Amino acid sequence: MKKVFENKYFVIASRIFLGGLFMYASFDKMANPQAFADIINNYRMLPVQFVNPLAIFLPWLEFITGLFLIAGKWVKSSLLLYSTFLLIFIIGLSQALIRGLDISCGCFSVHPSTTSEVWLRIVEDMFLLFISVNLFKYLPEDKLKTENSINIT
Amino acid sequence: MSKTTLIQAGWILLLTLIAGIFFNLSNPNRIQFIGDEKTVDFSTSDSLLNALRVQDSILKAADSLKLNSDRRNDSLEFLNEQRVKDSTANANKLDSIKHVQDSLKAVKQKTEDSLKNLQNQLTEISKPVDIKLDFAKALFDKKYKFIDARDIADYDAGHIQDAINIPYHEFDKYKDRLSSLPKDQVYVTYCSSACDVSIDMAYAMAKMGFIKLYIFRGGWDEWKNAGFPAN
Repeated sequence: MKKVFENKYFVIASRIFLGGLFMYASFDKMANPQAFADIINNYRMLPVQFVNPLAIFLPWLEFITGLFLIAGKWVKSSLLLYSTFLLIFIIGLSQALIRGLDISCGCFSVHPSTTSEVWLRIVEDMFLLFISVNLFKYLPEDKLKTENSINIT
Repeated sequence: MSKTTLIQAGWILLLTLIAGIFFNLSNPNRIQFIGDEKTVDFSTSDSLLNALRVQDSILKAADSLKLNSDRRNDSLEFLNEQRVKDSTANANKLDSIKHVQDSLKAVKQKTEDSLKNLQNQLTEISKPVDIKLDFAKALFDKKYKFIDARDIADYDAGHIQDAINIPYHEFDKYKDRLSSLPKDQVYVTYCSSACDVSIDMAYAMAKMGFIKLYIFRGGWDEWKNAGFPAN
């Protein structure tokens, strides 16, 4: 496992795959914040006051972490945030599945016709989380520019 | 996990915050930073159901009153004719019979007026009202129209019998269909149980001028579980 996740080409491919997926997922949500807020509300997990802020900022978090992953900058911190949010998505979807809520996932599109099986989305997210966590685990530490410059001097 | 990673994560969150704020402010589809709670009058559901039952019993009572009144009128007229024939000396009694007849008519008129008032009180609702399953079924039995606010795929998978599908997410597309409906009729909006589009739909309809709107928040899930008529 370690060998695979330390392979240079595998790491690049995984970064582009995860980053691209997150960026793609963010576009529709950014364009239609109200529809995304309705979807978050349907999960019945958050007080109504937290729904709109999440609908505004979550797509941007997806977009920015995706961008950093593809660019290869601040990869570890992006993976940390990425993994945290995948975990939250899995918890949200699981509680909806257990409670029998008939909801639209809102994972890649805010349009209700894209509704898919919730359990399938959970499996997908678990797969992404597996890649993300292992990349985080085996990737060497990013250094801040300031630290690098100190070391050089 | 190093301190560097945490600091960078903090910067990413800050970037997200700034980008989110600026984008939302410039977005034509922007939303409020703190959303308003969608509220409906939950408590009135039971009283409305009771009112509907009272309305039914009053209508029945009015029917029987009308029947009795007609019978009395017939018998009074018959009596009247008999007495006119019998003797002109009974003119005074005839007056009293007419007096009774007039007062009966007045009572009948008052009953009809109060019935109309009650009906208006029951159905003239400017603000949509939330209802429970039993009241929704009562309205269904009275052949009132149900509006399914879910998307077409969900509607096709199953819906309340004879419900009209107007997906709220494509409201503008279906606005013409709504415009063609009479605005003074009773309508019940619903979606599935875990959704708010039934509320949004009812309020959008209220803005269009519909005045008798109910929201069945239990929706399709509750209706289906109860085994009520469905397509």
